[in-house]
Amino acid sequence: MRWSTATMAAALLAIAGCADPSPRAQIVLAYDTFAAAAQTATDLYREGAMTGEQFARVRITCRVVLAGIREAERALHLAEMEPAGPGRDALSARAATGLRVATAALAELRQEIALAAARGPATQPAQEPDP
Amino acid sequence: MTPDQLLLWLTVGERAASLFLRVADALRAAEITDDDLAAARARADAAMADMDAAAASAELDDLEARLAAEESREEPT
Repeated sequence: MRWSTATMAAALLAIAGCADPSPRAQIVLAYDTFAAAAQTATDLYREGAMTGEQFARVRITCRVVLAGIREAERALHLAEMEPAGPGRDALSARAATGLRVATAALAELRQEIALAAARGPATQPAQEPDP
Repeated sequence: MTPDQLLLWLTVGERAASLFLRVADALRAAEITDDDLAAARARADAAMADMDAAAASAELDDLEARLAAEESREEPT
């Protein structure tokens, strides 16, 4: 069994009984899905299940995901303040694009985490920062 | 699926389920408020900050900079 982003989104919709989540709801979902994935990666690294290089790659993807969600949120805020018209439509489209980028990067992130975990114990032990 | 993969997905699934329930509560409400958005953003920032704390070593920073440079070179211009 493998959970795709779409599967998780469908599960959420089923739980919520909501067929068409608002853009705000999609952003909240994206933030929370990101938080769960990032925390899982951090825990794996701390437990030594991920090498420094694997963790570094995951962090790069994490930044892409977070930047995409933030961009979507910024565009959505602007769209909400804009009166109905082409300007608002363009900003809404920007928000949707940001969300698509973030969703694609989230799928990549979860795949990287799964692959890193499947490779087994790290060859380079995880290092905690010096106090 | 290997046992490691299964364990990973169970862990991710458990966390995701609890998060989904929290988000589902918000979705049931008429509107996602600015506070809901801010709270979700804070949870994501906290996860990223924890990740940064775990990676806080000069060696890892150098490695990440090298990987980022390699990836940017691989991207078509």
